[in-house]
Amino acid sequence: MRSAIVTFLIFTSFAVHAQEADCEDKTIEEMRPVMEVAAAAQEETVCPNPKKLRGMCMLIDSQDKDPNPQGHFVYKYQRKFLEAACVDVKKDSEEVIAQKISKVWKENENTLICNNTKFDVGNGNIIKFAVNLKFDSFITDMTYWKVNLNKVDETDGRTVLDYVRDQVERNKGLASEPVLRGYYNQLKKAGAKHKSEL
Amino acid sequence: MKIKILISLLLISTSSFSNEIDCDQEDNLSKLANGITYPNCNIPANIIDFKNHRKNLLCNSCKPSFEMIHGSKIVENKNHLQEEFFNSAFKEYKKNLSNNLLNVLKTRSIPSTNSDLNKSISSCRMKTQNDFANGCSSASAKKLLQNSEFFANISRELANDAAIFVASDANFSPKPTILSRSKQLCHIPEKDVILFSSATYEESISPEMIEYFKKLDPKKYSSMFDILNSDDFVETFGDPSDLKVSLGNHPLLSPHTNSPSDFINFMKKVPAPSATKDLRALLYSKPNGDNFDKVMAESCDKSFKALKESLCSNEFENGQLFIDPTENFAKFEISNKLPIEDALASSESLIDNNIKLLELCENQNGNGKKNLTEINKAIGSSVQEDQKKMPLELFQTAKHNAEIGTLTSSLCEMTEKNCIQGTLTCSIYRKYQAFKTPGSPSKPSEFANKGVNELLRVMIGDSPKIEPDTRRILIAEGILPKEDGKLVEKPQFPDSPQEFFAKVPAQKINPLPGKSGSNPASNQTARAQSTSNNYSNNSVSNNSTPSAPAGNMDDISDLVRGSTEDIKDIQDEIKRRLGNLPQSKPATIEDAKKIARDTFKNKGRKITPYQEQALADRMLQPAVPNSVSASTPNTANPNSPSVSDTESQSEKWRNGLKDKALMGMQGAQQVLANDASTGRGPASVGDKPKDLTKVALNIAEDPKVKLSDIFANKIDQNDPETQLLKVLLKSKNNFLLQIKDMNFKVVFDGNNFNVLLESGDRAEAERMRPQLEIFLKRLKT
Repeated sequence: MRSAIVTFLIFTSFAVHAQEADCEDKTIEEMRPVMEVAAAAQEETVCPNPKKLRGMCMLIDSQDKDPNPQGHFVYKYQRKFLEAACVDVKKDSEEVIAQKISKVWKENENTLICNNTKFDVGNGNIIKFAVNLKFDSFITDMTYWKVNLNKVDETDGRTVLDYVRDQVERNKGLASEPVLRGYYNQLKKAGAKHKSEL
Repeated sequence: MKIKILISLLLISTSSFSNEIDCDQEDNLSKLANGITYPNCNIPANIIDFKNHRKNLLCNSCKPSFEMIHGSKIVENKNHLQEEFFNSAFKEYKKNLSNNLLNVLKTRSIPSTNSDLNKSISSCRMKTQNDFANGCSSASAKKLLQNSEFFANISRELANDAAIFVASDANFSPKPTILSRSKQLCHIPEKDVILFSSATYEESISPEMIEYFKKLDPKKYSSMFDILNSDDFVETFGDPSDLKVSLGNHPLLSPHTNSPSDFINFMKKVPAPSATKDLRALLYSKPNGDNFDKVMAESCDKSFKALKESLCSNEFENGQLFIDPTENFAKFEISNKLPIEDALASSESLIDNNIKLLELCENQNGNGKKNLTEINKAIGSSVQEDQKKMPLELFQTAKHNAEIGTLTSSLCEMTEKNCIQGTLTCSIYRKYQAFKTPGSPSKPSEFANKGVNELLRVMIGDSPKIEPDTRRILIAEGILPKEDGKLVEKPQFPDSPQEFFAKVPAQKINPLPGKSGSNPASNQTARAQSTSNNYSNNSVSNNSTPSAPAGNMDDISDLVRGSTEDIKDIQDEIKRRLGNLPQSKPATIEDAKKIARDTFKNKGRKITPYQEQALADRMLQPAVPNSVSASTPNTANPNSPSVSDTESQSEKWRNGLKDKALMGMQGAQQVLANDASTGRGPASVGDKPKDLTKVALNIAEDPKVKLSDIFANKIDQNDPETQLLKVLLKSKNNFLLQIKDMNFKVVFDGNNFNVLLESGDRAEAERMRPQLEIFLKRLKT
């Protein structure tokens, strides 16, 4: 058994190191042409540029992929956020990217709302819209970028976490229930609160 | 075994921490960006380029862990591969079936196109086990089919779905169904939700928008998204999310949204649109019904053909199958048995499932093999892109929610108070309310549509397993035959679509008293107008004392990019050019545009048409705010709500505009800019020219009659005021027009005219403006 453990540890170590090397080489190589385009475009960009956030609801609804993905940013909405926050994916660390995006988010929070027949909250927070559409990637990004998760929408008087809790209730017994529970835990872990906790 | 599991879990945990440190992440997530949960490998979701590293992460990292637990090497298993492939392909087929069924059910809820639906009736009939087995050369596939209950159940599920859809009974909810319905706070028949929403979707595509689409060059756009998300479109019509839903969810519109050229060509078929009825005439025409039939038949044929060809192939028989475990994981049978979050190896059955998944790690080379991802795309060709990646179970809920469930929830919870004017949901709500009033027209869904019923009958098939209640409803609706083989005859829908919808209030169905907010049903029209006529509130005048425009050019940084110095340079140049205009002749919008163009050209810069328009508008704004009447428009109307209510509504609308303006929407910018120049009042009363002819147009609005019809009646009646208007319009003389308590000034600019609000309620004027302009244009011609 001991030898098995040792073998396993060695194996794991190799795997992790191999992965690390892969991460750096491939990411830089793949992102280079995109970053060049992004850098050129940035010269003409007002910074931060809230105009880039326009049409965001449609991008969340369509979940369209970016034809020129920037590294692991594969969705069009990610590109819009990166551009709005004037992120340089080549230079900025993950932490800086998160800071820049959460700042743009904060400044434009009132515009990041959606009205849609697929969405049961009028002028509702775009994160709620993404929850409704089960757009995992968007929710993960928002938690990772540490944007404000605790806005209370005027129209329904609920935070994102309140909304997800209600959706769980409404979807009990359906395939979407565990997915929604997953969002609830993920958001809570990222600091989302109920209105009553604010 | 238990000890073995515990030790392994400990080790896996160590492995996770290694990952964490290496990747410098403070928080690991077991759930990846694409929603896939991986067996006991806490992978940082956002920093890994997952697609390129999946083999490392899943197979190289996780597999050894489970081989440890398993006690031997995990290798590919042909039977397991075939089984997963088979089940996944059939689930995708089921998705396509439910998608088609819902589309047909939708067409049953709206007026008929009178198409005979012959192609669909022959292509979309419910398939049987024999249809699959006949000519199928794969013994493995046939064996798997024999062991599954696929065809035995599906007919029953489709029948239940159809019965719920057409039934009016809130308590009727048979199981199983393909579409999963979440709990609702109230009952609104699904067919009615579709009727109200389809009618509203049609209205959301304004004549101006159709004209816009008609002028587009399809070669410039690679997708519908490109059209709707273009700067030009968004700046003209606002956020396109709602419109996208309109196009995608309408059964007779969506077949035309597959490509920009399909869509633009379809829009070109709407001749000189002046109202929604022109679009409806095309939508509900027989050729369009025949097109629906063609698209539906192709979807049915393609889906079954792709399913059969892939599963009956030699590659399937030999196990030459390529399943990408990272792309398809969520669709696998085993994925249902895996927990969502932690403790992924906490029991032997879970370990078993994980091992089954890891067996697929050997299957990483797709050369010469049947690729499940590609085959699923062909089988589910009609399924929406964002729903393609979903496992069937999630799709069933998501599909229903997206097209019916969420809207039903909204309608259940909505009141006039939280009905946000200008949104589709609010318009649908008002339409729904209007149908509840006595004397409202009967709904199309209450009548028979023989062709659609026949199509539904063949799609559902006739399984002996269908529940008695389901059968009873389908018989009563004329979908399934009675015991004697005859169909129940229901009355045919009596009106043409245009006649029917003419009875349905399209705008301001249950208006808030007073005149606050924007027009609910034609908000996009209003937005379009606010841009296309966005110089209508400025001070261009052919009658006031001639003078060069003072312009409002002190800050154009919101319209022009560049350094502060560059912008100031451009501002100064424009001011200089404005100052050079002859004093004897008033500046026109074309003069202003030319100045903008020339200034930019002189500076070696390019200008977009929208910048040109916006700068010209700005030039023609008064430099100093006009004298402002402080009175609120509502004080004149005894039926108005309290001033504070109206102000609050108006404030909300204006705040929305501010947001939109911030996002770069010019229409909103213009309204706000005009507000600024007029002191933020609803309308300014400037220096009124005293020598203009004034026409008072008497229109009595009835909530049950559309504004467009009211104007159309005026034309038909040809009363003295209408005749006078014709004379004024044809002679191109500027004049004043009074409607209710609003005063407009109609100002000619060459052959074109602009309708400027002189005084009165701006929101009400914006609501009325689109139809008023159409009315005046018709009179002029």
